[in-house]
Amino acid sequence: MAAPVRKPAKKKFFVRRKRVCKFTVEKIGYIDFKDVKTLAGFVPERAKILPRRISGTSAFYQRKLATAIKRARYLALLPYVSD
Amino acid sequence: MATPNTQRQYDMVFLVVPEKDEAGAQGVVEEFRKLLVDHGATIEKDETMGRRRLAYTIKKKNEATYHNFLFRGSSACVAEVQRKLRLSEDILRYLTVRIDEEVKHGLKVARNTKPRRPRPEMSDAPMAAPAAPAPPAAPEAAEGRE
Repeated sequence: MAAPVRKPAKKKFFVRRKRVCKFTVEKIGYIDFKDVKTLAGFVPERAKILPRRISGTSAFYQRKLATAIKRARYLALLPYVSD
Repeated sequence: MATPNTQRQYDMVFLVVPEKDEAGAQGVVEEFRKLLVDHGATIEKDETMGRRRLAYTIKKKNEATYHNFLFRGSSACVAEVQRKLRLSEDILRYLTVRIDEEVKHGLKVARNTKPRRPRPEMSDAPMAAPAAPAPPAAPEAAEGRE
């Protein structure tokens, strides 16, 4: 009663936007572990690797991305854990 | 077994301790550059990534100068340079990755894969025009089911 404005919004279906793999689109052959700018986009603040159900990355690139992030972590370019 | 003169492509990054100033760090880099060349490597890229903050503390250091070599060389050359890197007091950390096969395979996959089309484009545009009378019916149906 108090919030009739919200009603139509509730009924609406979730428009799930299937995201497209960034690496496939740009036809990137190799994900460089030195490229912190790109990698940081897949490492949210908890420093965990973003799952592909959220990022939309293809399975092939998700594997490459994971290794690249792990290499970058070893070189202290990216954190293992956020502090 | 790899023949001794097999040349592979490697990507090497190492971290020079922060105690070295710019000139000092360049001196350390020069030492390893020479070592690589002496062991028969051809350097393809030689880039200082600059002094960066470390994402976490290594040996109580919070900063380091990063340097990157992209080179072709033998496994023996890599083994020797890595041994020297390990022994050096001026190196905080190093990583060597053989990248030729990875790049080759990656480029092949990239060539042969097409990105999937984002779905919203397909459902939004063509559906809206012909299905003009449909929208009022759809919410009712949804309500009935609930």
